[in-house]
Amino acid sequence: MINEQQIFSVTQLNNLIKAAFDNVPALQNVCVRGEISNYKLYSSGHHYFTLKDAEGSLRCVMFKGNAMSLRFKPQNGMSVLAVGKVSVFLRDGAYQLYCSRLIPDGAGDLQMAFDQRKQRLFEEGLFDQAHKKTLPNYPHRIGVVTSPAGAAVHDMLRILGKRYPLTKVILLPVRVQGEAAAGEIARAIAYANREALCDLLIVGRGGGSVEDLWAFNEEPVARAIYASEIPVISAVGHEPDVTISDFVADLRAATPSNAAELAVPDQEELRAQLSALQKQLAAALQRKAQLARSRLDALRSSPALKDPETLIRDRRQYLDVALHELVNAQNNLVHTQRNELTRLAASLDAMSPLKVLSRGYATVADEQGSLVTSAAAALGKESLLISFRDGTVRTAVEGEHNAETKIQNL
Amino acid sequence: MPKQKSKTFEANMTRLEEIVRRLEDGSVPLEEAMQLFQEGTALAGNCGKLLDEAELEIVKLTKGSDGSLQEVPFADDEPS
Repeated sequence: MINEQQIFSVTQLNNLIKAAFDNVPALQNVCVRGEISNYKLYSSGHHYFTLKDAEGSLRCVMFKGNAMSLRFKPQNGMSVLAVGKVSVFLRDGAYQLYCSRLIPDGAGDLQMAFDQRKQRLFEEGLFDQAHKKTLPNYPHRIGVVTSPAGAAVHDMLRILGKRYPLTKVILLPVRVQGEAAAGEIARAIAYANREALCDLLIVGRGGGSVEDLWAFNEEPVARAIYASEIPVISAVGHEPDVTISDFVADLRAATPSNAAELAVPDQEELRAQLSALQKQLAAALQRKAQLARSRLDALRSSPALKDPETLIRDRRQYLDVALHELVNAQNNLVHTQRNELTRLAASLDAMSPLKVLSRGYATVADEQGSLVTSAAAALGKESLLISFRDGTVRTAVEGEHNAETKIQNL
Repeated sequence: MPKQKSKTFEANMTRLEEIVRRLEDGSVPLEEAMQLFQEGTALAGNCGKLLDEAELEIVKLTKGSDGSLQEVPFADDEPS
């Protein structure tokens, strides 16, 4: 027979069991390794999931208050360490793990968060090479977003001053670790852009733990760097430390000191460059002068300038030849003309009146020398001049001799 | 003292490089080449002088009494 007093209500039994669980100190703070499955995030902000291993499973809940400290997003299949207490959920009569912390198994939760964010921002294009801006060769004003205290800023200023003291450094003091750091860094970057404060930004801090550097993994910082019109050099921690900022920045420096070296040219190199340019200048001018000189020499050695008398001699010779030819030509002409003259003279001679006279004819003229060609004309004159071949005689006109007689035409 | 020495330096350097290129090109007449040489030498001298006389200017942005950010000189007194 069943004793009435030994009958429990469900609630009574569940409470009894719950009390039994809650009295086991080992269950108040356990750490359990398992794989997440059946993961659900409710709108209440509570996370529900089951942890499994090869043979069993365990219901888990993580309330909103605890879940806020989660740096990564739990996913099915993920191997985790869950810390919390085991107790009974009275409504379901089921025991479960009330999870206060969830840690990725293997890699730390920060690493998990880093990997997840990196993947997400990568997919979003925040690391695209095409988006990277070119750094200025000669930064005129450099904005440095970092803590004004500490070795990092000191190292940067020392190196910037040593390498390129022509630039101006504008320090934007921010906190670089703790809750407020990411917001301050992001706002400083945005401010520098809004005010066109500088033509290069260095964003960073000195070395520290992963937690110390965490601000540079935060999304607001990544987005501020991505949005910056001013080129950004990230300079976080030491060489092995890699942050999200490093991936987004236009250039990643291994350390703050390295950032200062990458930011500006080195004046030693600039001086060497200047002296090389000066040498090039001198050499170029010298070449040019040599070229001009050799052209001058070529001109000088031309016959015209080297021995100007040659030119005169040559010209004189030309002149001689020309003169000679001219005289020859003239002589020829005279000769030809003389021949012609002789010929004409001969013809003329044949017709000469003297020739006629020599044959016995004479000319008759009056005292004035006008020829008298008829007897009628002669009768009017007192005297006449008769020209023979060898001279002239005067004769008086006495009268008509014989009117019938006509001197025959010659 | 010019406000932005770095700007002057960059401008001088750029001009100097251009002059060297022109001189080395060879098509420049001798008289112009001599003028370019003089200008280039002066620029190089000026660049050297800028470097010799430069001292890094450092300011820090600080909230003024009216809440706006102001530049104040920053003394880097961290021991080496």
